[in-house]
Amino acid sequence: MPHSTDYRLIAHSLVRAVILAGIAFYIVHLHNIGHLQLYIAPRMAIYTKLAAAGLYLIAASLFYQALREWNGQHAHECDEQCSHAPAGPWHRHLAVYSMFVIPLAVFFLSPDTTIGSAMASQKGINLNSASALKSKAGAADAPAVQNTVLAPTASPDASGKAAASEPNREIPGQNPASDNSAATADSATDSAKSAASSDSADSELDKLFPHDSLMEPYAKYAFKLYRQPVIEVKEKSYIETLTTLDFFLDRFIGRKISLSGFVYRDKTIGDGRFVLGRFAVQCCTADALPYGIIVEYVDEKLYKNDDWMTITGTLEKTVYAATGAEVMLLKADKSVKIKPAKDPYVYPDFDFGI
Amino acid sequence: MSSLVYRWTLNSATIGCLILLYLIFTGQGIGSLARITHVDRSQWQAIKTIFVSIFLEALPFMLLGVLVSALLNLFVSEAALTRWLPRNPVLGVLCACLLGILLPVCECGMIPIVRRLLRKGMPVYIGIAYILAAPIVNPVTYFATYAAFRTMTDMALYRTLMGFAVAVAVGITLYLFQRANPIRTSAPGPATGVVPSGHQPHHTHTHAHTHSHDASGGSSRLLSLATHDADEFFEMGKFLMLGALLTALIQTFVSRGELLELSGGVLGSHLLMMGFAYLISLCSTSDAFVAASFTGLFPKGALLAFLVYGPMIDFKNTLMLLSVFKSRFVVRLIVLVTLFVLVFSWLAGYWTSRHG
Repeated sequence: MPHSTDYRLIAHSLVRAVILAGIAFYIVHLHNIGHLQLYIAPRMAIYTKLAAAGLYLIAASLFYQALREWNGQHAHECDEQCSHAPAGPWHRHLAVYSMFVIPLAVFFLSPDTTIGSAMASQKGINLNSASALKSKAGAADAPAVQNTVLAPTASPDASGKAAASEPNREIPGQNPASDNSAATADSATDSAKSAASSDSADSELDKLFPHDSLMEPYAKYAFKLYRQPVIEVKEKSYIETLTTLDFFLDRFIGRKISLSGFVYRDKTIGDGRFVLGRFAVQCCTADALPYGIIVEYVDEKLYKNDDWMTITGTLEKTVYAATGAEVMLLKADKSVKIKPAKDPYVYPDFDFGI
Repeated sequence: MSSLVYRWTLNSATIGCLILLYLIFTGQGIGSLARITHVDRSQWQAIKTIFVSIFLEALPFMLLGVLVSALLNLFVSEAALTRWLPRNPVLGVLCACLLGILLPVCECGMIPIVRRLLRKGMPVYIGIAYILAAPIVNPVTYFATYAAFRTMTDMALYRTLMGFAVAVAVGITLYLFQRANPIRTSAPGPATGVVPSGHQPHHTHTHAHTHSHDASGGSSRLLSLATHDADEFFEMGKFLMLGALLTALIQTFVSRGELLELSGGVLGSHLLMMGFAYLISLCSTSDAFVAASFTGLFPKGALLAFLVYGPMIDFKNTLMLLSVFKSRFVVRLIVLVTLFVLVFSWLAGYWTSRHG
């Protein structure tokens, strides 16, 4: 069969090569400027990078094929069947290619940002990180359904009552009640320290943090946290620490906590309060879930949504009107405005409990 | 040309109806559409962030699927495939479901592979059983679920069993009742005539044979592998792009709080969780943590419905399914899966409330 140069094939191969290389280059670009983690969790990033390598290879082969066609070297062993231009009218191909080119151009040209308080309010902030653990201890099917009648609009009443029923609405540091609780906490810390040094650490653990075998890693971690004078919620085990504090909340009431994150508010948490938290990402930012603690602070209005800060305060509990569940409340006595964390998201700690 | 116009009017009418339905169910007026059209900066940023993250996350898995599909095309002949597949339909469905253990690919990678196998003559019910079961019945998903529900260790087991059961049930139902060939053969628009698959006229079975019996030209073969990859990539990729964009829009504009207000009763909570799973279109490895965040709000059965339904059918993969199957079949499949998940999750919820 006489062979003529197929210009449509060349054009298609080149356009495809450019698009595929463009996607691969975008991934490399994100990696180079350190922004890949804004989209993909570090443990999954390797797959995306491998995909970039694969796309480069395919793009290179397509380019090579275009060159061969240009030089009139056709694939010999499969003649007409192997490589020829995709069929169909040109406008459909244009539509398909622009479905890649336009988003890619937007990806490149628009700034990389993080999701913040606006997204937290869409996703609903997670104040009860231990709910998946607690549910075992009672809340079976039928009663749980009753709680689903969430009415964010009807809630300020209830949360207002809850807040009013708490005695200390003034500045926490000057409140005798909270001083007392801090003192008891200190003595508790001392006793915990001495307990740890003695042989009976295990029985102390069981007494302070009763648990079953499944909860053992959390109980041990709680015991570790319990011995710290100020419990710092660290980035590496952010979710695990919040879960532990929430699960053994009664044991940690009155203790000093230090927490960093972004500020978020909605109408369900009540006046004079905001939530300080972080987004936890499993695989990619699309599955991000906001975790946080309600903070009560005198100069609450000083801080805008999405401001980042470190807050140190005393742990209390309150009833979250939207779910009717008991949640943590941090009575702040010190706050520092900070720069947003370099990696805005936190990830599950896979070393936890090992 | 007219059929192209027809298709797009049909699609946009469907989307319009869905938006209206959403407004009706959430009790909002048309006025709130104005709120939606006014998109502020943080929302644009959220859309971009989620769009890019879904695309980058799905990309490697889709590429893997495309690669496996191209390899299948080059090296597995029709005859070999028919030899390997069990004759007995029940056995075939069971095998397809168990294959998920060996090939843990999420649904983005699954569809190109299954499409290739279907074109090579694999029965539809086996292909569907594999698409439905594989994202759930695999060790990666099992351990992710286990990690998300640390103290409800039976959740992971229930999820695996239920995924298996639903896939088998749907597969067998399709075997019994699906007579017509549901595979999209010719692309709408001007017909290409001679060859049945309008998208890629060169991907016929005879072609596959030429390849697999050809021993010469290693570099040419690699080259044709790359060409096949590119063909499939662009065919599936456009659906991934569209799916990722629409999912990003949904995640940005539909709030969980508003969705939760819809629920009522046990059946309502099951349907709601399934609807939620459909809309957010997460991968089967990361959705367990999202499900865990609903514990206490919803009964176990509803969480299971979320965990099983999401990986089987969601917004993103409906678009990808539409690239392989006729739309009537996709609708039928969605209805079937919805019914089976609903029934099985209700039974599971009943069972766990008695024994759990």
